[in-house]
Amino acid sequence: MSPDELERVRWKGEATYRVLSYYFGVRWNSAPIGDYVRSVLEPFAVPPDPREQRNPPTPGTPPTYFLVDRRVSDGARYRLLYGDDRAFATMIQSPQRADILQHLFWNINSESTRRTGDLLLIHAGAVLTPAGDGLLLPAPSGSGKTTLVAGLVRQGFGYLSDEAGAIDPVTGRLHPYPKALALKGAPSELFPELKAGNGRRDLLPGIWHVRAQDIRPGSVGGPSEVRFVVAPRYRRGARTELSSMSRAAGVVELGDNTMNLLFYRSRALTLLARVVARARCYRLEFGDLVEGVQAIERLTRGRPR
Amino acid sequence: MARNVSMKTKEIPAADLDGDFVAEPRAQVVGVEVDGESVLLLEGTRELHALNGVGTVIWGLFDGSSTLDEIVADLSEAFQTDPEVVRNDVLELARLLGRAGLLVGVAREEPPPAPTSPQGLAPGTEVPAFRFPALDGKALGLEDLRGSRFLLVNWSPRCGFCSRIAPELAELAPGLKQHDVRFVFLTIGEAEENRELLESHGLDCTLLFQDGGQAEVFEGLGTPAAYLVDEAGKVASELALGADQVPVLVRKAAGLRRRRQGQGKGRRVS
Repeated sequence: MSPDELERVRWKGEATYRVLSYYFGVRWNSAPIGDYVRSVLEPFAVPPDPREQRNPPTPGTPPTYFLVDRRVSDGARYRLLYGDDRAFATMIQSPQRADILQHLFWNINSESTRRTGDLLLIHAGAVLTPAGDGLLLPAPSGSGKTTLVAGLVRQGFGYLSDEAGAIDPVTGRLHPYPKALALKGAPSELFPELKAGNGRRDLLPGIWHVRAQDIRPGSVGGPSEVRFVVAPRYRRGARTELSSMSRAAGVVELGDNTMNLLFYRSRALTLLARVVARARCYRLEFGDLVEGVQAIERLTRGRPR
Repeated sequence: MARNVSMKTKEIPAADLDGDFVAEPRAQVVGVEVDGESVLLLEGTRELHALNGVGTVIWGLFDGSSTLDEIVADLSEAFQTDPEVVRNDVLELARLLGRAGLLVGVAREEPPPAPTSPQGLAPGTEVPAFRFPALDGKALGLEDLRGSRFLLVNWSPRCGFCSRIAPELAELAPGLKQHDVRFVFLTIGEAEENRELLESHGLDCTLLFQDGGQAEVFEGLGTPAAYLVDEAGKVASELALGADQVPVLVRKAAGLRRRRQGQGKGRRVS
């Protein structure tokens, strides 16, 4: 797509967002795409900030994603471009709308974690117990983090993230990164209350984007101290088992899942040791969502403040 | 007290450590102590090592001046414990940490490849659908690949094992072509680093970038890993996992027998 062609696109909408430390814009020329993007990125919407726009890496304008729906003869109707009005590149083109949306959300997630140096980011689910304590669920993809987080939020836990535990290196506190939960697999059996159009976004095959407030209104929580580290592992048919581990093992679990470990280097260790210093650390193997949630509820219930 | 014996320039294998060895942490090792246990990190890597209370005490005695036997003698006396038991613990820990690259004068060894997963997809199972952008930005998915046989490989240009097997895969590519099988790599990372690795070995493949998370077919598995996929989009082999198993699967798909032990570049293939 040439700059002239991009200039001729009739945009239906645009918005600016800040996800962690990543400030960017999104522009679209299709209402369904715009509605989807707005709903998924809603927690991160910010007004355009002229001061941010003067900052590197893209002086002049923020980096912008252009979502273009344009009927063409080669079949690649949908395009995702990235750059600014003067210099941009095609990230992906596809006959499928879902492809460009999936790539957009993946890229935003990846860029926001890559560009965020002012927070230690741990690949983890993060929730607040009903008593207001921070609980981290560090684990790689496929361990059942998102499903467990959604189940806990439904049961009254506060939502911080289904993707990253964001630790302030100065205070050691856990901060929210409240992106829409990305539920995969067959969530309709586990979350029958989530109806299409009512909190659930269905444009992507196999993934539901669900906002935490649609699981339970008012569920997004604020910064907190980490008091629990629970490393989850979902295994089909497994008996639910919660076993304690030492704080040193907790540091290893968190460190293995720290996204910017190479950036923080030795400081990461000191910081993680500080994070677990007032926390209790566990491993949770579970094969059933309800049982996994109940195990965490029992663990965190009635902890003296 | 013995002086550090590492006058030699060559590093020794961890398995060769004995009681005369003087253990000294590398300068790049950082650690933190939590409740009497330690966590160690070799800076510049993502490898963390936890030591229990006993390990932490022994680690603290690796001071670059005492031999392992002297440490054993001190510990046996202090804790009134059988010296042979202590010696086993000290040697085992020194070898473990030496292998991990934490000790001066000991050759770092790559961690072993991930063990075979018992949870691989059974032959005949439908491959879970995927759709990812190729190098030219165009999306390509399982549906587009139906009608052809291909080796679906979980790949990363940052994986040492992938880099290690790349030349062998390139060598096998013509044989695959003769059998109408092609490579489809599901990769991560930037286009440039992927292109660089493949071009440096002349490895020709369809490269798809796993965006939006790891493809379900390889979820929870490391790299490299591979399946042969048939024309109907079904799994046509057992899961091959690791730098030893993947080339074996590729050779089989290329209609070649297993490489005899010691043949080729001196690397052992089971």
